[in-house]
Amino acid sequence: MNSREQTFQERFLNPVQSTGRLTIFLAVLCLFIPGLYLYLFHGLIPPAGAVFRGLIAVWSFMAVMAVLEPIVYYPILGFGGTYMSFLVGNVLNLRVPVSATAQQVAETKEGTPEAEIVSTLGIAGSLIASEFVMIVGVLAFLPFIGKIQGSGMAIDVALDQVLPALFGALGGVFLFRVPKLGIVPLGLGLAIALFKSDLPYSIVIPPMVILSIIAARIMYKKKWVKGEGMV
Amino acid sequence: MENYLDIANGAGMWVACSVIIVVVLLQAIRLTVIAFKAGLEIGMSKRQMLAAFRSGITTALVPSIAILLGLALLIPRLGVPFPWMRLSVIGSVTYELIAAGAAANEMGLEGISGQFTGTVFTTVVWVMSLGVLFNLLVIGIFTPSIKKLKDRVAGGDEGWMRVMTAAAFFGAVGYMVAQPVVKGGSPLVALIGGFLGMLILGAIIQLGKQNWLKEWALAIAIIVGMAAAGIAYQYLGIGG
Repeated sequence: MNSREQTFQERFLNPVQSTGRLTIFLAVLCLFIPGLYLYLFHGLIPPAGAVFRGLIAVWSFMAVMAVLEPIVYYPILGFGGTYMSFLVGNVLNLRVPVSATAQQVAETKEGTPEAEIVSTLGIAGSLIASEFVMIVGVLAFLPFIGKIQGSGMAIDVALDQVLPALFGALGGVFLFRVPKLGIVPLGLGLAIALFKSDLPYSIVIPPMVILSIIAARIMYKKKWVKGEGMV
Repeated sequence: MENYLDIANGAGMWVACSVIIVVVLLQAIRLTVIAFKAGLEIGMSKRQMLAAFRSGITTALVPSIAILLGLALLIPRLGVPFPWMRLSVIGSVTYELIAAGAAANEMGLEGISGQFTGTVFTTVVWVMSLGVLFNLLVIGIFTPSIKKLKDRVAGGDEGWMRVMTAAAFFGAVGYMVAQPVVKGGSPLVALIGGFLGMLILGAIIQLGKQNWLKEWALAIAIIVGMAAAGIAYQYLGIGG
C-alpha cells in the first residue's frame, strides 16, 4: 500500500465507516419514535397481529430489495454515497443520477479515490437539497390541510382511490420497462383475484414474490429477459 | 371521539418525526467534512470538490419537488408530519403507499380509505416504519463488505440481480393490481385512469425525449387515476 492509499484509508474510508454505521443505527432507533409517541402520549396501540401480518407482506419483497439494491448501485454511489443514499431513499431516481453527474462535472475516473470523494460530496449536497425542499414544501402545504378534506364527495371518492390509481400507473410502468416479467405476477394475481378478491396481503404476497422470481429466473436463463431494471 | 388527524398533525407528532431528519442531516454534514478534508490531503482542488457538491444540490432540486407531489398524496389520510418523515428518510412514494395499503388491509379496510381511525393510523405508522428495518440493517452492517457480498449473492451476476429485484417487486403488486379489475366501480376507474395516464406520459417521455418528466410521471399518473374516479362518480354516477 503506498502512502496516498494509506492516507485515503485512514482519512476517508475509516471515518466514513464509523460515521455511517453510527448514524444508520441511530436512524434505526428513530424508526420507533413515532409509533412509541402515539402509544405513550395518546394510548394508541396497534393490534400486534395486524402489524405482524402487515410486515410479513411488506418484508417479503423489501427483504429481497434490501440486499440486492445496495450491491447493484454500490459501484456508482461509492462507499460514503451508499450510506447516505439508502438512508434517505429515492436511490434510483435521484441519488444515482446525482453521483453520475458529480463525477462528470469533476471529471474523475470511476473506482479512484477521487471518484469516491466526488460522489460522497455530490450525494451529500443532493441530500441537503432534498431535505431543504421537503421542509420548505411542507411548510407551504400546511395552510391547505383540512381544506382538502370534507370539501366534497367527489374529492373523497378520488382520495380513496389513491392505491388503485398507483397500481394502474405501475401497470403502465410494467408495459414500458419489463413487459415479460409482468406476465406471471399479473396473470397469477388476476387468477387469484377472480377466485377471491379480498384475501389478506400477508397470505398472497410471499408466495407471489417467490413464484415471480422463479418465473423470472427461467426467463433469464432462456435469455427472454436481459438485465433490465425497474421503476 | 378525538379525530385521529388532530393527533397525526399535532405538535408532538412533528417532534417525534423530526428526530430522524436531524440524524440524516448530521450524517450528510459530517461526511461532507470528512470527504473535503481527505480530498485536500490526497491533492484534490477545492474547486473540483465544490463543483461536485454544487452539482449534487442542483441535480436534486427538481426531482425533490416531484417527491413533494407524492407527499401530497399521503397527507389527506396520514396527516403532514409522518409522510414528511417517511419521504425524507428511506422513502419512495410507491413503497409508502403499498406499505400503508398492506397495513390498512390487515385492519380490514379496502385500501387507504376514509374510514381511518386512531388504531388504523398507528398500525399504518408501525408497518411503514418497520417495513424498512432490513434495508437499514443491511446498509449499517454490510456496506464495508459489499464487494465480497456481491460474489456471494446471485453469483455476482448483476443482470440477474436487476431482474430479480424487479420480479420481487412486481410479484408483490401483482395481486393488488388485479383486485380493482375484479371489484369494478371506482377502483377500476382509478386503475384504468392511472394506467392510461402512465402510458401517455411514457409515450411523451420516450417519443418526445422529455426525460425531465420521468421524475413526475408516477405521481401525475396517480393523480390522473384519482381524478378519473372522482369525475366518474360526480358526472356518471359510477362507484362511490
